[in-house]
Amino acid sequence: MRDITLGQYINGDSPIHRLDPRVRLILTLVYIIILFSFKSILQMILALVFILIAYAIVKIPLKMLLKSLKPIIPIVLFTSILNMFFISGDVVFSFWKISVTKQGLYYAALMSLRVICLLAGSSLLTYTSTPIELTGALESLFKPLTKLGFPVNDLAMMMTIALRFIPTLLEETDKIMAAQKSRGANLDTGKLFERIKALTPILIPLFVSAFRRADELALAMECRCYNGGEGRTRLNELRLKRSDLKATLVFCLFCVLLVLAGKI
Amino acid sequence: MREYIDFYEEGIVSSLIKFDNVSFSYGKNSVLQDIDLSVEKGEFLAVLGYNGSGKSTMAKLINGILVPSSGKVYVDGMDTSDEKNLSEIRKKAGMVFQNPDNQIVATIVEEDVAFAPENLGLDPKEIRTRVDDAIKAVGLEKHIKDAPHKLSGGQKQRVAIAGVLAMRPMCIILDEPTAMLDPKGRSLVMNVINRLNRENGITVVLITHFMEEAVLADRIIVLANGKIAMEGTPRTIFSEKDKVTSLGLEVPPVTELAIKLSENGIKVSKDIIRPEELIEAITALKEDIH
Repeated sequence: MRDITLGQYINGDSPIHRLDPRVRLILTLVYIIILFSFKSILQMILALVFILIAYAIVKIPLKMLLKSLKPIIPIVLFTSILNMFFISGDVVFSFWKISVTKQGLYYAALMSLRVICLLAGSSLLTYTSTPIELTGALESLFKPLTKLGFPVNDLAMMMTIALRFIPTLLEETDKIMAAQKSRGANLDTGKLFERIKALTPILIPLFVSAFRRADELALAMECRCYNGGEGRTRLNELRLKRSDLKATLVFCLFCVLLVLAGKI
Repeated sequence: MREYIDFYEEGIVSSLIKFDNVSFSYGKNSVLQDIDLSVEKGEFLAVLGYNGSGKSTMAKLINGILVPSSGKVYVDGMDTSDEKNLSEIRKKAGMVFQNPDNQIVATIVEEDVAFAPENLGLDPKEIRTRVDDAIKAVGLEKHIKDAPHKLSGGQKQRVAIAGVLAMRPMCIILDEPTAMLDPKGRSLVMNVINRLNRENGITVVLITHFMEEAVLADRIIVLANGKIAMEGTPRTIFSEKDKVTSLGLEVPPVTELAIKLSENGIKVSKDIIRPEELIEAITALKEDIH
């Protein structure tokens, strides 16, 4: 049986791990909004320092953060170069027909810092929250929408079941692939089109079995008195603790600091 | 005409589960015909029968997943064909299915066990007590925070049983709960079922095709062609080897052995159903010789 971790959750017991997932989610969102609404480089540097401190608290090695930044390096470089060359202003140096301006350099640095902070911030959320915690947080945050007839509970239940069955179906895919290979199916070689065609005998049994499972699961859920999300209670109800308040206060202080930095 | 329900309310009869002349058919396909059966509180009933004899249909009739085509099924005096009773019936008669993978809903053991009480809208504190009790009853305390896909088949099936126990049911119906398990998982699950019946007084209806499991029951019914073909204690059922074989079943291996021994002139009784009994019989013979 393989050990599948969904998302990139890192098991840990840091103060940030222990926060209410709703607080984690909202603070991350606010952080992202801040990144896009502040425009000075000092503010971006502060934002970066703040997120690095958070990483230090969670004890996630910097290497890991750098690894997750890797895929966006081309984007960062591309936007930086565009900014550098195409923003007009005071020329710092020119080369052939291209001139680099002071403003251009400034914006390039600002954009790069912004993208790095954005990725670091959102990764921190997924590093410290399991998908199921996030589902719970979203369910609780969107609860008011139930009154408007939006099926929040049902959607959350669907999410949970999907997460629950991903490992089961992966395992099943393995089995079906082994079964088809043992009967001579060629799955690994050939042209792209041939390989896609070779997937059909895997997908069909997989779908059939998924439907059968869904049928049985629905029956089992009914037997356990499930009749929609209404009137359900939760074993672990999300409750705000003192530490959640403290974290929010620290975050507010950081925001004040940013605003002040903008005034310099 | 006065019905079973009237007598139940007056306390004249008290069966937990009562099949009153029940027939069931899928379209034109008749699955069960004129079944009369009552299961008493605290009883352990095993249902045997070849594949397609109507065993699973019978299980599904008990908690109202299926409704009889004719006749009535009562659980604790409640008619299963009345929609209003369904949630109360399902709370009283929990059901465990064959494939543990397809009945676990949540991604953490304790949350799965909490699923039913959550549906009942209980207070979180009450849910916590029930979850802890249920997990303890099936002996999975160490795995309370684990992900279900990391457990073995036998452990998963015990999670499923715990999930039903958390409803605090009077009765558990198990539809071939050990069919997909290895021998070790099977014996652990059977131990749990047996203990729930003997120590916690939970009524058990076990549908199985393992004769060794049926031997643990107080009573066995054998289904064939949609009818109850045999009914009695395990000993009386398995002492009729020819009839059992003609219904597409076998006697337990130890009974088979006892019969062969006695045919070969070794004086052991033919109605032995448990290994311990055969050991005792043979030891007694040995002492006779000395």
